[in-house]
Amino acid sequence: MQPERLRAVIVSAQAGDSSAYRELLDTYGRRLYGYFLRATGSHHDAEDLLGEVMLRLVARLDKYDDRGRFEPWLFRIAANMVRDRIRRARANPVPGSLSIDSEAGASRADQLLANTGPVDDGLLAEEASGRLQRALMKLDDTTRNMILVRHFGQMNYKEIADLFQCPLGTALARVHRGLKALRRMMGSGYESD
Amino acid sequence: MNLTEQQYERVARHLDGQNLALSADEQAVRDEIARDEGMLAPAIAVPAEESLTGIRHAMVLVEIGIQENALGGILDVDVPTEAMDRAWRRTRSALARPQRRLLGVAAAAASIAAAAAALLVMTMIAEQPMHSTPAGKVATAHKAAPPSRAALTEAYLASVWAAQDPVINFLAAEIDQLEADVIASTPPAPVDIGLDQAERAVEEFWLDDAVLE
Repeated sequence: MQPERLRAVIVSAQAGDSSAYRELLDTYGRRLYGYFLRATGSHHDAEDLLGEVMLRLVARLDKYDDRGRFEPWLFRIAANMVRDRIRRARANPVPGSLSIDSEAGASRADQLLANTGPVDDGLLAEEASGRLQRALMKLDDTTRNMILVRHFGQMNYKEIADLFQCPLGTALARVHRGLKALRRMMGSGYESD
Repeated sequence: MNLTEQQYERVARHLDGQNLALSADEQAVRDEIARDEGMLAPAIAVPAEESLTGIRHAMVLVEIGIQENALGGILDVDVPTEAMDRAWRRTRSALARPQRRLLGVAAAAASIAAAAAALLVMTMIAEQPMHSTPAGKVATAHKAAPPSRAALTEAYLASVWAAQDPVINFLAAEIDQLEADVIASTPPAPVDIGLDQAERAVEEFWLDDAVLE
């Protein structure tokens, strides 16, 4: 979406125009969903978080001060939601307390704690995609999220450092090591066999 | 290859668009990151069809959120100062109620203490020697065994509480009723009228919504 159009859409949405929200969702929905899916490894959580982030958008958009940085603002909200969800999952690792995605009935919390994939393997049909998801889940939460907001939220490193409250050099060092670890875990590369 | 924190910071600034001259090591890391990000991009993308259900679900929530925001605007009212004053008066009188009860309890406790002291004195007098025998032997009067002090005290306390409690409760209830009557007899304030109007507006709002559905 062109910056001028985005500004106009934001103004309409701030006035309560649902078609403007529809346009924002059409523009960012896929990326947000992708981010949530890769961050949690669960379609159920991704769908839930996408709905939640849109609700927060409705509640908070009137406070958004447009300086041409809507995407980082939106993905900052999304990243905080992911962080909260993972924290809650760690604090309450009770089977059934979160979405139950595996056929065996294991909760998302269990899956996160065990750091094992695959989750939603049936839905993440492609092997390369599934392997990447497993590799992502083996990274620590912060590094995984940094790589994901960089990709899906198109954040620059300064924004990533601000979001994760760490020095700029640390942010890039973590992303660098995370990417290397992913490449190592993926073996021959990112492409499907 | 790993860099120092300062070198990573320089590379990050460079990647963020600053015009910095990088060393060979820094350039190598920059290139490695760019290559890894480029390889990651196609694999990390989520097929469009997988997100469609989530997007539809989110749009329904957006519609609900917008309606809630609109409803919030109708529900919000400016609260007049008089209404706040009345609310405060009611709060203050509610806060005063336990104090009145405490005063009643204190008065009852004082009367019980006085009664207990009197009872104690009477019991001590009753236990003194009564008279001498004709043979000049001093004897203690034999009378029917008096009830124990504890039993007497208990009986007296029960009678005092039985007498005090209904009186205190009756007075408190009377005062509450009086306060309620005073508040009820006050003419309706503008805020009450405003609330009625808001209530009607909310009903119409939902009615319109149902009709549109």
